[in-house]
Amino acid sequence: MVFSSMTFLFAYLPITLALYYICPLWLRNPMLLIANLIFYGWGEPRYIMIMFASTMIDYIHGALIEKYRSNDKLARKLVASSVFFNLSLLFFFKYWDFIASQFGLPVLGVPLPLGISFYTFQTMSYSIDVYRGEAERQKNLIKFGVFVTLFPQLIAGPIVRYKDIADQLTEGVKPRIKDFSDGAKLFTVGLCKKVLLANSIGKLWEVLQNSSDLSVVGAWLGAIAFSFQIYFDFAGYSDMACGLGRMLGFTFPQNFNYPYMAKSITDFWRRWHMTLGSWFREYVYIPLGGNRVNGFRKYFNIMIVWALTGFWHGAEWNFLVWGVYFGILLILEKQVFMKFLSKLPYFVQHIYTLILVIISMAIFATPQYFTLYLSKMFGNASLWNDTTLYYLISYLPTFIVLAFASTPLPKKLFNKLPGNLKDSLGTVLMVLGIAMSVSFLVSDSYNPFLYFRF
Amino acid sequence: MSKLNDKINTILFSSIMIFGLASTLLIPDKEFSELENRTLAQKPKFTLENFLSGNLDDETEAYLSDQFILRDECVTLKSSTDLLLGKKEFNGCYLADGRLLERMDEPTEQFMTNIKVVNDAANALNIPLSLAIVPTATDIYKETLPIGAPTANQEKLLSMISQNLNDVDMVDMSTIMYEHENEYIYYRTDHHWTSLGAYYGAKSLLQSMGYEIEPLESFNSKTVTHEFNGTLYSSSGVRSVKPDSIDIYVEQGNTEVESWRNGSPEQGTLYDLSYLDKKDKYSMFLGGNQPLAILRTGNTGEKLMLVRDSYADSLVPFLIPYFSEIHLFDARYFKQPISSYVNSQQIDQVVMLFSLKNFVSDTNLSIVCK
Repeated sequence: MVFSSMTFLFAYLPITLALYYICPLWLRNPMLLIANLIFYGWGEPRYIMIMFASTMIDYIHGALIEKYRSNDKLARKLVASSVFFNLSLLFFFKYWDFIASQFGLPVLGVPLPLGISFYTFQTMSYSIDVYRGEAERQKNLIKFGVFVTLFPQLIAGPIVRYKDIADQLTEGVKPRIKDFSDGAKLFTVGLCKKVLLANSIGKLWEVLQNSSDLSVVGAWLGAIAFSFQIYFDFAGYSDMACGLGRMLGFTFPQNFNYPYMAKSITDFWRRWHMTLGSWFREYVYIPLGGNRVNGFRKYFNIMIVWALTGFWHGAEWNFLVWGVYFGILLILEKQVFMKFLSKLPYFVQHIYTLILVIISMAIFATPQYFTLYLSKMFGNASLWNDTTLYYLISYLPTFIVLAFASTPLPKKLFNKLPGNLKDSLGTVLMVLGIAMSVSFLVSDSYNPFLYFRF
Repeated sequence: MSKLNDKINTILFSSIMIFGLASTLLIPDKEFSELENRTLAQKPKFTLENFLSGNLDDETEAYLSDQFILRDECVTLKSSTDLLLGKKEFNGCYLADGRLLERMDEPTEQFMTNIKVVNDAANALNIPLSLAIVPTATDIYKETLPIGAPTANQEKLLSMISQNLNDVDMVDMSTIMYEHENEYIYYRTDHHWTSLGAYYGAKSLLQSMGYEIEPLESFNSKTVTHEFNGTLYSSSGVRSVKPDSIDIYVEQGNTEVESWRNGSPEQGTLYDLSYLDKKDKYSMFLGGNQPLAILRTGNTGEKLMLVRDSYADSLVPFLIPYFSEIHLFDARYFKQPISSYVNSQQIDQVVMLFSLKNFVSDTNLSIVCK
C-alpha cells in the first residue's frame, strides 16, 4: 500500500489511527504491529514471511550478542552472522538475477519484496548498535517487531537506525494533540509534494523518456523533469513518513534538507537521502577506516562506499555508474575543486552543482539505456524541435512552481507571518492541500474505460 | 491559542479521513457515471486468489476513487488547476480555439494489420468493398493546436492506407471535410462528427458509389438539444467549452429498424429521443451501440452492408433513399465473418466506415475479416 492512495487515506489510515488512539497504552504496540503487518501484507502478501524471518534473525542475534558480550570474538562473529543473513536476503532477492545474467547463470525472475532494501538495513543496524553498546537489546519481541515493521517508514524509509528510536520504543510514546496536529500538517505537505508536484512533472518525464525524436534541449528538459520528480516523490514520501510517525508519537530523523540548494556535490549529499548517507558512513565508511587512513586507501574507501550506495538503489549497471560518478566527484571536490569553488559567487556554485546533479539523475533514471540518453544530452540529436518547444511552454509554469518549492523560500515566507495568522493559514493550507491531492488522485484514475460504452 | 489551533487541525484532519471512509461505506454505490459516461468500479470481492495476486489492491483503489462522493468536483478542480498552470493537454485532449481536440498517438503495428485484413476481406468477397476513413476533428483543425503539440499526422496515415490497398476502393472523406471546415461539422465536446459533418460524409460516400445526395437546403433540419456535453467533455474534465447542439436532418419515414442487441431482434428507431435526457446524448442516433442493426427502408435499391463504428450512427439516415436494406455491422460486438454474413443476407455492396482514430487501433477487424 502506498500513502498516496485512496485505500490508504480513506480506509487504512482512519481505521488504524482510530484503533491506535482507542487502545490503552499497553495495547498500542501489539495493535500497531498487527496494523503494520496488514499494511505490508496488503500489497505484498507472499513476502511477509521474509520480513518475519529478518525480524526473528535479528531479534535472536541481538539477544545472543548481549549474552556473549564479554566474549568479544564470539560477539563479533554474531554480528557478522546477522549481517550475513540480511545481506544474503538482499543479495538473493535483489542482486542474484543481475549477477547471474552477467555470468550466464540461471536467472530466477523472483520479484523484489517491497521495502527489502530498507528493512534489512534497519535490522542490521540493530545488531550492530547492540554490539557497539550504542543501544540496549530490545527484550520485547513485539516492540522489536514494531521497530522493523513500523508502517510509516517500512517501504521507502527514512532508514531509521535502531538507536534513533530505541528510547521511544522502550519507554513507549505518548503522542499529544500537538504531535497529531504537526504530524497531520507534515503528512499533508508530503502528500502534496508527491501527488501535486512529483506526479505532475512525472508525466513530462514519461513522455520525453519514450519520445522517439528527442532533441538535445528535450533530453535536458527530461533530465530536469526527472530530477524534480524524484526529489518531490522521495522527499514527499519521507515527509509523509515523518508526519505519520509524529501522529503515532514517534520522531524519525530528517531525510532531505533542500538538496537542490546545495553549493557542491559534497554539500548535496549532506542534504539528499540523509539517512542512507549516514547509514553508509556509520556502518561502512567509518569501519573501513574512513578518512583516518592514508593515500590510496582513503580514495579506495570513498569509492567502495559510493559504488555500494549506487548499487543499493538497484541491480543495474547504471546505478553502479551513478554511485561511482558521485565517488569520483566527491574525491575531486575534496582534492581539487573545493579550493576554487568556494571562492566563486554562490550562484556559480549552485549552477555547477545542479548541472552535475541533473546529469547524475539522467544516469539514474535510465537503467537500460543511460549511455544513449547521455549521448542525446550531449549533442547526439538535433538541438531542439517543435515538440520540445511545446513541452517547454506547456510545462514552464509547472517548472517555476517546482523550482520555487525546492527552495526554503516558501517556508521562510510562511514563518515570517505573525503567530495567529500562521496558525490559521496553516490550517487552511492543510485542508486545501488534502482537497487538491485527493482531486488529483481521483482524477488520475479517470479515463481508462471511457470508450467502453462507445 | 496554539493549543486551540492544534485541536482544530486534529479535528479537521480526522474528519476528512472519516468523511471519506464513512461516505463510501454509507452512501450506496453508483453503477454508472453520467458525467463521465462510463461504468464505475464496484465493491471488490475478497478471495484468497484475488488477494495473493495483488488484484484486490488495484480493485479496491479503483473502487474507492470511482465511488468517492465528491468525484465530479475533484475532476473539475484538477482540470481547473491544470488550466491555471498553463497546461494545454487534458487527459489526451487539447483545448484549442474553444474546441476539445483528441490527441492521436502514433499508430502501432495494429494499423498495418488492419490495412492488410481489409485487403483480405476484399479478396474473400466477390462484391465491391470500399473503405471510408474519416479524419478526426484534430486533423481538420490542426492549425489551432498549440505549436508542436504531439499528435499523429492523419494525412500521412490516410495516404499510407490508400497506398497499401489492393482491390479496395478508398473513399476520400477528407477533402470535403476540409472544404467545410468553417461550418459546424464536428462537435466541440465530443469525438464524433455532427449531423452536418455526417451529411458531407454521406455526400462523399454516395458520390463514390455513383449516387448524388440531395442538396442541403432540401432537408428540414431541427435541433433537438442545445445541451450536449460529449465524451471529450467527460474525459478532459474541462468545463469551459460551450455545450454542443444536436440536429436531425432526416425523418424516420417508412424506415423500419431491426436492432440486434442481445441475440434477438427488437424494433429499433433512427432516433431514440429518450437519450436526450441522459448524459450520453449521441446515443440518440439509433439508440447507441449495438452489434447489428438492419434498416428496411421501403425503397428500391441494393442491399448495403456497413461495417462501421459509431460515426455511422448519424450518417446512415442520409443513405436511406438509395438502398432497400442497410445492414449496420459493428465488429466490436458482432464477431461473425463478413463474408459469411454477406452470403447469407445476399448483400450487394460492403462499405467499411470508420473514424481514423478507431481504424488505427481497432483489434476486432482482423476477427471478422477472415
